Amino acid sequence: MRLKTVGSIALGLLTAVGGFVDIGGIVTAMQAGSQFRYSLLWTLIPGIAGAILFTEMSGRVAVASGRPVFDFIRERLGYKLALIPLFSAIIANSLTLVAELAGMALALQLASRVSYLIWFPFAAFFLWLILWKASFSLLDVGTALLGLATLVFVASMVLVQPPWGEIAKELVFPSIPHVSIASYLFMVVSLLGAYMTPYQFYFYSSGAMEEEWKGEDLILNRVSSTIGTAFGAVVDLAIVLVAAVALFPNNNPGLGDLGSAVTGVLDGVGWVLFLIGVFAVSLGAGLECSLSTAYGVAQYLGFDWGKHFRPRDAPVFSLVYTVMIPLAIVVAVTGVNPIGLTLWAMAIAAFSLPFTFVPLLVVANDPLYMGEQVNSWPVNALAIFLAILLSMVTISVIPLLILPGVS
Amino acid sequence: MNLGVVVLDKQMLDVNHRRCGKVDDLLLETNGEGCLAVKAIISQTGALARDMGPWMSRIMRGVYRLLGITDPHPVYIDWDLVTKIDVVVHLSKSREELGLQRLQNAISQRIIGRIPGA
Repeated sequence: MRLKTVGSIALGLLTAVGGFVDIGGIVTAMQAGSQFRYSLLWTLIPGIAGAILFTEMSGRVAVASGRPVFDFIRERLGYKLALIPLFSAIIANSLTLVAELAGMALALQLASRVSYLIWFPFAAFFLWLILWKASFSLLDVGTALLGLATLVFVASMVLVQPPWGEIAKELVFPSIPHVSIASYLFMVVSLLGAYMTPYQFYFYSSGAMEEEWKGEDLILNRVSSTIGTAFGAVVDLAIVLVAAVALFPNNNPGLGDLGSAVTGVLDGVGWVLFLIGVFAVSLGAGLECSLSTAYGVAQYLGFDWGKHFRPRDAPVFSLVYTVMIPLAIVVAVTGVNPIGLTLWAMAIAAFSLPFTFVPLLVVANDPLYMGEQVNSWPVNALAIFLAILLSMVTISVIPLLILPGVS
Repeated sequence: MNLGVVVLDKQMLDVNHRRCGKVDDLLLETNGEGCLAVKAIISQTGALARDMGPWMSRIMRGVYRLLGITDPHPVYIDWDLVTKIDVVVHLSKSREELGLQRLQNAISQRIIGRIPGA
C-alpha cells in the first residue's frame, strides 16, 4: 500500500476517533451501556450516516476547491458572524483538550497508581512536543496505529457474548427504559453530539490539504471517511455492549470498571491494550482539537498554517496550540471534573454547528469552487435533514445541562 | 460585481503564491462619473478591530504594542495590484513588499522563535 494511502486512511481513523472514541466518547458509551443497556444503540445509525456524509463532504470541498472548511466559513458568513464558530471552536476545543489530556493522565494513573493530576503536565508536554516536532504524517499515522489498540473492546464484545438477536431488535425498534425521560434524552443528545463535532471537519479538511490530496484522491477521500467512521462506530458499539453486559445496572461507572470488564475476558493482555487504547485515543483527539483550533484561527486570519511549515514560519498557527497547553494545565489544577467538561464543550460546539454546516453546504453546491464535484441532490437532501435534526437535538442539550440531576 | 461576495473576506495570495491575510475591508471612492470604485484593499493590523468599536481597537493596540509594533495601522493595497480574483485574490507583489508580514514577523521573533526547535 502506498504511503499516501496509509496516511489518508489514518486521517479518516484519527478524525473518527475525535468523534466516536475520544475520552468523552468512551465514557459516554460506557454510561449508555451501563445505564440504558441496548436502548441507545439506534443513535449509531444517524451518527454513522452524518459522520460519513459531512466528513466526505469537507474532504471533497478541500480537494475540489483547494480550500479548508474554516477558510470559506469566514468568506461566506463575513468576519463578524464567523467569529461565532471561531470563538466556539476555541472555547470548546480548549475544554476538550483538558478532557483528552486527563484521559492520557488517567490511563497513566490506572497503570501506575500515581494520581492523574501528577501525570497531567507530563501528558500536556508530551502532546505539545508532538505538535511542535512531528510531521503531519507521523502524527497522523502514529496515533491512528496506536489507536488500533481500542480493538480490544471489539474482542471483548465478542467474548462477553451479548444477545445479538435482542441487539438487532433494539437497533431498529428501540425500547424506552424505565428511567426519567430527561436522563434518557440527555444521553441521546450526548451520544449524537459526540459523534459529530465541528472540530472534526476543520481537522479533516485541513488534514486533506496537509496530505496534499489532489483530484485523483477523491476516491481515497470516500474510502478514508467511510473506513474511519466505521472503525469509530464499531469500537463505540463494542464499548456500549461490553458495558451493557458486564456493568449494567450501574449509574456511575468509572473508567477502571470498564478496564476490569475488559480484563475479565482478556486477562492481563486486555488490561495493557485497554490502557494503551485509552491513552492513544485521548492523545489522538487532543492533537486533533489542538490542531483544529490552530487551523481555524490561522485560516480565519488568512495566515500560513500547516505542519509542513517550521513553527517560526507559521507563527500564529504555532502560537495557538502552544498557548492552549498551559491553559489546559491551569484549568486542570483547579480540580474541575475534566470529563464533565466535555459535556459543556459539546453544548458550545452544538451551538456553532449551523455556522459550520451551512457554509459547507453552500460551498459544496457552488460550481465556481467545486467544478463537477458539487453535491448531488440526494446528498443535499440527507445533509439538510441530518443538519437540522442534529442541530435541534444537540441545541436541546443546553436546558438539559441546567436541569438538576440530569447530567 | 457584488464586491461583498466576490472580494470581501477572501484569502489573498502574494506574487509567490504565499498566504498574506484576508481582504478585511475595501476603500471606495467616487470617480468622475459619480460612480463608486474600489481604490484599495484594507487588510491586517487592526483593520477588523477598527470596525468592531473603540474598545476592541484599544485592546488590539495594546496587543500590538506588547509584540513590539508601536505604530499599528492597517495596510492599504492599491487595487491596481490585484491581478486576478477566483476563489482567492491574487496580488502582484510579495507580502514583504506590501508590509503584510508585520504581525507574523513580530510573533515569530518575540515568541515562537525563542522556543527551542522553532
